[in-house]
Amino acid sequence: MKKISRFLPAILAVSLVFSGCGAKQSDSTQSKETSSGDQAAQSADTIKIGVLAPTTGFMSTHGEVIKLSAELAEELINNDGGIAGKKVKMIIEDDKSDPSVATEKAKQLINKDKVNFLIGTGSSAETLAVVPVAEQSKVPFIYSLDGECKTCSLSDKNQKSKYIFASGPTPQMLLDKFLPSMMNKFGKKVYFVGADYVFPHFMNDIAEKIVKDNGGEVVGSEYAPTDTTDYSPIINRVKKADPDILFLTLPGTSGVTFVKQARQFGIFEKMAVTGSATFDTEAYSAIGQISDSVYVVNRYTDLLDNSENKKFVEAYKAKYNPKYPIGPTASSGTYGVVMAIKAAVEKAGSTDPDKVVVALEGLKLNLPQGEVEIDKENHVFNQHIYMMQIKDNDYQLVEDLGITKHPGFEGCSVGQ
Amino acid sequence: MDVFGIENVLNIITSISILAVVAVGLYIIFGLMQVINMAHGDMVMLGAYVTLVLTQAEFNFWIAALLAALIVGLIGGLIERGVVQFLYKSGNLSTMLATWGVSIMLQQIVKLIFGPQGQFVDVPIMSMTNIFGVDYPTYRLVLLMICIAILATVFFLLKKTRIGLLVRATMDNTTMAEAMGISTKQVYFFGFIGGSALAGFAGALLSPIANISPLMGLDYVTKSFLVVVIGGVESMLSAVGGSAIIAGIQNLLNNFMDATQSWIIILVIVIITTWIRPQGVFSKR
Amino acid sequence: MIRKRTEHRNLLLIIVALLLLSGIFAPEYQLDLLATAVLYGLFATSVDFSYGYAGILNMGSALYFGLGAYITGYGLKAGINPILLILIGMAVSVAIALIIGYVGFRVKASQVHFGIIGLALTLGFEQLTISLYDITGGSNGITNVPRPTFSLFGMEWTLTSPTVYYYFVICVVLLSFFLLWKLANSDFGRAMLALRHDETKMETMGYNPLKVKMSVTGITAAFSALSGALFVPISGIAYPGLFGVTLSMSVLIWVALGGTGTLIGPFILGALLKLSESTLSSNFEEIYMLIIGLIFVTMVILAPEGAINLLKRLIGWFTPQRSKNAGN
Repeated sequence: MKKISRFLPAILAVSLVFSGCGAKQSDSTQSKETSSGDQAAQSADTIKIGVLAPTTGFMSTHGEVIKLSAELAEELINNDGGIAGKKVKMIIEDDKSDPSVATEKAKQLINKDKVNFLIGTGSSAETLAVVPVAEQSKVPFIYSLDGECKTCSLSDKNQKSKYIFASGPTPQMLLDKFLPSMMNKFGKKVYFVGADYVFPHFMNDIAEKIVKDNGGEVVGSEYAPTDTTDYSPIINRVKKADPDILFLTLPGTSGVTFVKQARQFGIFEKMAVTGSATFDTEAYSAIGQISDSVYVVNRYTDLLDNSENKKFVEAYKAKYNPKYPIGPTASSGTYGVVMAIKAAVEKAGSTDPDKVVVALEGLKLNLPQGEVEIDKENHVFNQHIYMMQIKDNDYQLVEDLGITKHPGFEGCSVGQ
Repeated sequence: MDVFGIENVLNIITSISILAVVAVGLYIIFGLMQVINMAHGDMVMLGAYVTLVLTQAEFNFWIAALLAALIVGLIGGLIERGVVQFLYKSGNLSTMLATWGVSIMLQQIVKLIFGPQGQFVDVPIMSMTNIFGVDYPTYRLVLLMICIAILATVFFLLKKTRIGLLVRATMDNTTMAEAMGISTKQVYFFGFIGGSALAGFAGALLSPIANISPLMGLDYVTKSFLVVVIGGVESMLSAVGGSAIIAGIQNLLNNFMDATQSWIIILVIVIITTWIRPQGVFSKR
Repeated sequence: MIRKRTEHRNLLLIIVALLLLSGIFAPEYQLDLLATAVLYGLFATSVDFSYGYAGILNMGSALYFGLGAYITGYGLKAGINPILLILIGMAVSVAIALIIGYVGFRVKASQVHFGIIGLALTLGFEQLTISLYDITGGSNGITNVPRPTFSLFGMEWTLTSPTVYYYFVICVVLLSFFLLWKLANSDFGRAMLALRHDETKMETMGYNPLKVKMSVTGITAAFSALSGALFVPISGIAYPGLFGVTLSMSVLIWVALGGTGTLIGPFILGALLKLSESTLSSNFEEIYMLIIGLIFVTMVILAPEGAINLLKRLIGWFTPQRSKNAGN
């Protein structure tokens, strides 16, 4: 008796672990609606797209929107006959805004769910974690968010990665025409504030160069940790420097706190406040009401007047009834990307990754964001950049700055 | 560089006072029960959210803030009765982990109800006041005065009233206090309520000038722990002194260097201070 | 105490068997996940070594994990011998641990104060990692970290396949666990326990409390760094989050809930939680964290001795005692 009782804890542990393993298999099959038995049959009829959506963690405002848009895209495409007659299935995983989880989920999507394509990811670190996995597994990965170029090859900064594509504009693309336009409107003295991590540094460095190249003056440039709760010293310095334009790259939380505090100090009355990522639709719920008249630049506004956008916005509003404007991550980063994949598969007549990649290169299509051409050389979506103004509870189109292209692989942050 | 200009001085003392209100709340809880309350920052968060809900229901901002303090205080009481009271004898790690668990739950519940995105509460006063020759946001000045008033009230309560005496006696020597007939259980309960209410009120006051989101508490809990460690727990003034060091020095240094560098220097100061004077700069024991 | 160890030994053997079998039967993409889980388990065990035995609390344990990860990540990309990198990572961590240990224990900082020093230190490193973009890749981290290949004992070891790397990790982890186990059950282990209860008695026994404390902290740092070093080739990326508060708190949770001082409890809990998080969170995203929080709170109150001891308690209830059945 004693001997057996000594083994009982061990036996219990074993059964727990095995049932865990069993649960693992059944959980994954049930929820994802791919039973491993039918996989052979299904892969002939279904096109699977893996979606890495950070629905928890600090990128969750983007992640939630990626998830919703992916589900909408799936519905719309399947109702419309699917991709080349085959149904499309979105397999959505939460990477928790954590790069090592992104790696893990990417491998899971590729090896277990056998997805044909990967889309999504939030922060740059998540994207960079997935790039080697996608490239080595030969699965085309079109990442959804903007930021510095990440499409250069893993072995050579001046070559493209075969399977990686960037749907979002790089800092160069966004600011090239926008900043000179702003300087013409408001003046040449610009003060820069950014959150202290890679993306704002990239953005502001390029912005500062553009300002100087266009005869402007950088009267201040500083960075603060993302969790700063008190911006009063910085706001004070901004006031003293008396710039014409205040350019903020403070995505998420930091931007909201800064804007709320700056407004109190009367900053908005004294200068033109603008920036990148700071006034995105993801922050609208927090600072939209107090950002009236702020000019912003982005790849999309839900007020764009083209048939693709009308269709998309109508469907999105019908399904989700959003309280705030629909943003680029939803329309361009997710829905648009899925549409690009659809077009490429139909053009290639196959889901073979090498054929699809060739089809994607140079592909021209009309998306909600306007016309897009996927660059053959650097795999970045050449796209329209729009100058907008926050007014009347939405992002009013001020000027279409034209279709832009990223110069080569400038600033590519993929580690060799 | 006009470091000692009026705006800078006002910025620094406002920074210090807000942190002090949160930190004094933690001081009461930590000093009283040696409880590392990892959910203290979430009391700030809840204060902001209650204010959000009430202002959206057309309540006056100030009334909403007071109600927020009350409601968050009660939530603190629930946490004490429901979780913390069972763990007083179990050691530091237990209370820390249990309150971390509570913190996770609170953040998730708020996220489920409101979503992860930031929220908007409007500033009750938009004007600027001309003070000592400069224009300064009126709301901040009011905030400053309210925080000082709160700190003074708490100080008065602790030092001059009978209730305060009971709390201080329990803090000093729990066994003695019990021997003298003080119901330490009740003192702990009300201490937790009081400390949480302070944090909740701070959250309400911060709601127009900080991002309101489920995760906002983490920044405040880290900072208030640093305050308590560096200031010590001898008296409320230690916590205020600690706030002066953390918020004050960071704000001051920010005038000479990057915000990131000043944060690292603060951390170094905390580490060194804990070594050479573990009881805290403003404490004698 | 000794009887507990024997029971634990059976459990340990079962786990070893399971791990080896998984290597054979589990699909390859799951082996990476399993290896990660096992590494978290080792991390938890190393922290239990300090806290469960010597009562030393560190609220910033992730510091050593992060250091091991970054040094290995950086070095693997530069083509440096992986074994050397692991040793460097461990050495650096041990050095830092000894320094703070020396100063902290010298001034007789209280448990909480020492814990918070640890927290401040890890926060500082996290911030530094974000700031020093040129060395660390900043918030993007060190990316595209390759799997290790090296020569040892005249053989070429190419650990690129997940299966091979998995077995490598299992071997190293089990070896480490065995070492920690032996240490805990030796005279040194008894000295550590004495630290908790009676320091003066320790001195009369001939042990220097300061030296024992420092050794303990150093050992924890070494194995935490080892976990981080082996973690990075799987994730392919070393990033600032590896230094953060969240990981530091998670490991303490694994220790407390697993059963402080059991070494095996934290190991199992760390590994199991990682596994369940990966699978269950996909399905129950919305309420998963809520449930986890609830479980933590409930367990801390109702089962403070940890999961492993709780399990034994439950088994004790369900298993009839021999003496009671004697008459039947």
